[in-house]
Amino acid sequence: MFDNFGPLLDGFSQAFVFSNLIYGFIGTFLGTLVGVLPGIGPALAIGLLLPITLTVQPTQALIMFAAIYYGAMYGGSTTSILLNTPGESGSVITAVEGNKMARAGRAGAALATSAIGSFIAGSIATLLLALAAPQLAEIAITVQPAGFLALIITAFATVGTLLGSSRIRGLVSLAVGLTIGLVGADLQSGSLRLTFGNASAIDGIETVTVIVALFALGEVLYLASRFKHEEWQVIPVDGGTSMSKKDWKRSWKPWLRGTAIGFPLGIIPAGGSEVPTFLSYAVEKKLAKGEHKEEFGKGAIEGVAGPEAANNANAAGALVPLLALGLPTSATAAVVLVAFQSYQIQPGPLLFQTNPDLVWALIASLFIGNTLLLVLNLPFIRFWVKLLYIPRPYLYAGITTFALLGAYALNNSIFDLQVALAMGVVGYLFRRFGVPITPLVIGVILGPLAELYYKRALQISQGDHAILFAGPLTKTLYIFLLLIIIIPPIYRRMKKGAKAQA
Amino acid sequence: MKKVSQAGKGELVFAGALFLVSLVVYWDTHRLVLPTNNTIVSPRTFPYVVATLLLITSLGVALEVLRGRPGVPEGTEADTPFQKADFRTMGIIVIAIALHVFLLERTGYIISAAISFWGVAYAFGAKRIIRSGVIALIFAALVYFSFTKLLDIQLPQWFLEKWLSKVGA
Repeated sequence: MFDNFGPLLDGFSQAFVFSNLIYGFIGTFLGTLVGVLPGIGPALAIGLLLPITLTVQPTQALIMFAAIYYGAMYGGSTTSILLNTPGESGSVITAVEGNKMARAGRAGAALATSAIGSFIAGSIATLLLALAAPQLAEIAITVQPAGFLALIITAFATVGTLLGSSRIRGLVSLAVGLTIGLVGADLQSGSLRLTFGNASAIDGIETVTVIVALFALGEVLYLASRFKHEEWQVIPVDGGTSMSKKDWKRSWKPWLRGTAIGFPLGIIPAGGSEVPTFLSYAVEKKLAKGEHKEEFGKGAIEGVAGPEAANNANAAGALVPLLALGLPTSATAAVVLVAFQSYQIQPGPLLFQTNPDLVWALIASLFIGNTLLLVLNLPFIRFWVKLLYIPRPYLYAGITTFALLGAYALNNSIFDLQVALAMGVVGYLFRRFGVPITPLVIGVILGPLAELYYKRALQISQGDHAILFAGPLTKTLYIFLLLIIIIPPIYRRMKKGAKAQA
Repeated sequence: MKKVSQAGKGELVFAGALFLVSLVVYWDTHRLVLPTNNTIVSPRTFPYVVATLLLITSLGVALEVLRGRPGVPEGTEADTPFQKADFRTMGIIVIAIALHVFLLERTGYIISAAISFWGVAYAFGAKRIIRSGVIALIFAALVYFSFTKLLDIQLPQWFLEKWLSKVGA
């Protein structure tokens, strides 16, 4: 188990080169800067900052991404606490409980517990990542195409049905994503699918364009449709951002519990940070006693500390399947995957053999980025808060401009811009009709991969479909899949039945 | 079956559009030119599966709406009365983006980005149009020069620069 520390130290020595530290610093700065802007979550922040790294060397770019990844999450929680506009579903709880704390004049303590909690959770989770990912990769090397197909189908089912309030809408989102993934030349046969004679479409739809347009343009259109005149009320941070002895005492256990909930749920495809943050909040509420319990819903520090830690640990956990299997389980992980691919780096079990320096430099940079953030974030909080005072018209105009730039700069293609406009409208419609967006993103990225593994499996077996269910891994996964499809409706019926009897 | 609200009708159109998309996928897959070499899995298999999933789920959404369970935007309660969408504001933004797409390789980056920036700001209520126009131009120029000069990412030049480089050469 401790074999990993040697390469990790090598990774540190690589990341600690002065020029690389500068990239880490720029990354944390930009990540926080973009993450603080209201309505921008980590997935979109990385998507928007992707063009900046186009001309940077791969190692340095990965260091920047690591820094941006954590930076955007820190920035997002600041906004949630002071403005109550969560940029992503993982910050919803922070927006509720943290904003209540801020309203009660405890903004400083809320920001501090969230920043320190994120640091602790991030550090522990990154350490676990360094331990778990290589082990998983070693096991994953033996996984056959049929096993990968089963993993992807399981990810589809969980992401599609766990997110949002309505299962059918999660699945329709997935189906739209799979359809977008079909566009272009079929990898094996070269047959053109859904291109309708458009030469630009042969290479397929650019994933970054889809993500940036869905999140940025879709959000801008949605806000324009309903909240044009909404006024923001930024809560000022009076006094310092420090915690009293009592705050520390109330925070440290929720931090650790949040980490324990967030990390494992990041590894399995549970569809991002929504589930773990809600779970952590529920646990803290249940464990709180006396007057602290009374505070829940009115600004309890445990209700900020736990979910924030869970959110960050979850983000690190999501990197485990991404690095070891090449499978993203959240929208943010999906963008990181695309960022890797733009450098011709294919995450997956082989990455640890072909490019170990790169992986370890990345993991080391996660530690460094996390530490830099603690240094950057709290002392400069007044600077970040100023960003919240950008007038809304210019804020949204700026977001639109950067989204369009991101969509174009990757391939210098007008077709990508046309796709961006269309996806912006789709993003609006999805928001308007309560359809979650993450399943679509997962579908676009994993759809072509699913087809590839399906074909490979059948090539191995010469067309015999029995191979898809051969082996213990595939059987376990499909049984698990069956259970998550069957159990919720039965559970609901039983609940209904119990109610009817009562 | 419950009476479908105004918003529910909109969602039925949305589900109907997705249903049509699934039919298009079927049709496109059906007319697909197959490769001459023999493959074990036809390139048609996967699209047929996807089209079927889209067909079933879009019908499922329509059924949900007809049963009186329309989609609710995240963050709003089910019983919040639906506000009519502000199509004018949205329209201005869509036009601003479309103009950017159309103009980018014709007028160069700075002008097309300034126009779309200005359009979105105007849609969101930036009243003083000359001031916002100046801000838009400065912003677009800043983005252009920092990307082309600092980051070496090429963006379409504007005509003046093109003309100058021609004269220079």
